[in-house]
Amino acid sequence: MEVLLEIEDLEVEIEERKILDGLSLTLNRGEIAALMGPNGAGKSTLASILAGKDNYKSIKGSIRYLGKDLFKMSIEERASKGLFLAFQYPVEIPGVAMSTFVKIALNAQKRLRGEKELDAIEFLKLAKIKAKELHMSEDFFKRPVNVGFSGGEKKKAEVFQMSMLDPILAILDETDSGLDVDALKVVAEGIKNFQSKDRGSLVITHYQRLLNHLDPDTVHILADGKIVKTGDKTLASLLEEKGYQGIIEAA
Amino acid sequence: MINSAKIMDMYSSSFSDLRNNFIGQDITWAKKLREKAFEQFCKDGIPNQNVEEWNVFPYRDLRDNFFSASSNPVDQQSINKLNSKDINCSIRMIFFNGKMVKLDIDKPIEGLQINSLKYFMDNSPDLLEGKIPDASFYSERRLSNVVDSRPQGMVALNAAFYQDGVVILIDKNTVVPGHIEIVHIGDAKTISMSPVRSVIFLSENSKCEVIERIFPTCKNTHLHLSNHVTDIQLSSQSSLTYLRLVDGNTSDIHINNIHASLKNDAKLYCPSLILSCGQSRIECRVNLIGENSQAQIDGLTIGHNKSTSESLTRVMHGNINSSSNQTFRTILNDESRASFLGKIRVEAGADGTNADMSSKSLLLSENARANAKPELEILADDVKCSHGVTVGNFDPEQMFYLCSRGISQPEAKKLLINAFSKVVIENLPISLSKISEEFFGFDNFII
Repeated sequence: MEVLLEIEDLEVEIEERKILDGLSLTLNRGEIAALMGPNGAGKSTLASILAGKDNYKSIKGSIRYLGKDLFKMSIEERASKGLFLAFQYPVEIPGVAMSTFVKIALNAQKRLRGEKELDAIEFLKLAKIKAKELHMSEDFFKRPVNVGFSGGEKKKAEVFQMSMLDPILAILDETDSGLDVDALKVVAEGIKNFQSKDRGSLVITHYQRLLNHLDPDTVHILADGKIVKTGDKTLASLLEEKGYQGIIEAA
Repeated sequence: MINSAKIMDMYSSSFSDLRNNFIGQDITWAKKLREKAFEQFCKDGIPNQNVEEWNVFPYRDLRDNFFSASSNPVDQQSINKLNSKDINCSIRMIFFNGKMVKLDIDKPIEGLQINSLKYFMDNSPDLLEGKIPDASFYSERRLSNVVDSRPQGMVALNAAFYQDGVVILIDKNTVVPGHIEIVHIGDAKTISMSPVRSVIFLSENSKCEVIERIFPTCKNTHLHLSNHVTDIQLSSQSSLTYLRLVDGNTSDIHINNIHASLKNDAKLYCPSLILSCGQSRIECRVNLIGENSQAQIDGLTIGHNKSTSESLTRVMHGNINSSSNQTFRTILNDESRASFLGKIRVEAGADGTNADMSSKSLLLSENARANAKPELEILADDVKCSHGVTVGNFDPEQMFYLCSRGISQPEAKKLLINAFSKVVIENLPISLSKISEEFFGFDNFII
């Protein structure tokens, strides 16, 4: 199995506070890994660092993505090489229509990869198919990015972007929170459709609900800035039973 | 005496020299207005920073120089260089240093009279009587009810020295097809000014679109002041779109005063797009004296170098159920400065007023500065008024989100600038939005 993402001894300090403290994690092609952990454990920090956020005071350790040093890649370069982050709190961009945004993003990535860009008709055709898969109405193409979207719509829009941009590694930061049962199902379908033997998913979540749909290969527990336990999907059920405290103490 | 005595003396002797050659001097009312305006200018002078409306920028160039009314010969070459008129443009007037040099009409339009102010003064001055107000008419009324004429020194200067202008008179039930374009070009071989006085009068139920374009002066060696005053009267149910495109180089000073009064159900849409490298100041005063009258005043400014751009609005709601909207967006590069001074006044009894004012500035450089002062004076009870002002840089969260999708930093910034300006641009009718895109010279200005 080819390694997609390899994090070694990652230490991140933000505003005088050590958020990640010796975190190591490996994700292979074809793997769905769940990352769970109590609030404030550093899950979202990890996700944003992977996408290229540089709001930290200091950073140590190494991250290799597709065998290359991730720290040497700009935010947009990471995206064009197939790294995608579904935001926990998607950002509102008034004045930019969703379809414009996704089209520019998709073509910018294609340009960076030296591929042929999509014209307006090709793009719309693809977008319509993807929106239909996610049970989304087409009016949302014209709406400004995330502005006035409900919590569920925002999360669906993230999954829509993921399926349009067709990444290799998807990091989903609490994409299941704030979703009703039906929306959760749709989002889970979206992730399952995306997953293949060439791709990997790192699913950050608090709940077993999503994992029941997804059937993860591995479950990592993150606490106090490092992975304290790794197991298969039974670990998630154990967690549901004993709580983080029980697992962390046992580990 | 506010101004340095010497400069005022130069204006006085210039006024004496030109007195017999001004247009309209054989018309009693016009002559009287001009003399009165000059008296007022002598009293108040060019506004200084002690005057509230003029306290943001020093306007030193304006005060420390004498601007002679331009008498430069017409430069035919620069007229020939202009593109031929747009397909939607039914009439075009070209002004050189403030005087009309060309009137280009496809075919006469019934119900529309359009020509230079000089032409009307020479041929049918009666049509203008009562349409050019006394300079004191523009005085600022303070909250204390004190009437202050000092902020209007530039209007008085215009009213004393104007040599030409635009006159558009539209009869009842006339809809002018396409748009009317007024182009101003000029040069500055000496320190000079072009005082332009314009009158737009729409009778009941008429409609018209006017674009006024001010190009940078060529042969950019001396300061040039274009000092425009436009009086607009909109009768019941008439509708005017009045777009200004102002482009200047570093030695250009543009002072534009627009004054509009609206009767019942009249509509005014008055956007100004400014590409500023020099100094620009646009004042827009709107009196909503009719019931259900509506005004939309917009501004989009892009500042470069050490330019200063100032927008002043005074919207007076004087009758029931009138509405107004002001949307100003400013993008500042380099060391440019901008200022927004907006005021909404709702008179006692003007119930059902709906007024909104928004001014946002995007600073693209650490050395750019923006100032904003929104004011509301509400003397009626049943009123909906709002205002919002922001000054800021690119939002780092938005930048991160866009880049995380593979969009490069410069492209993300362009997208955010477009989004920022969009609220102003999307209000424009399609035919005019194309002109404004070309004006700003952005490719894909609107995405």
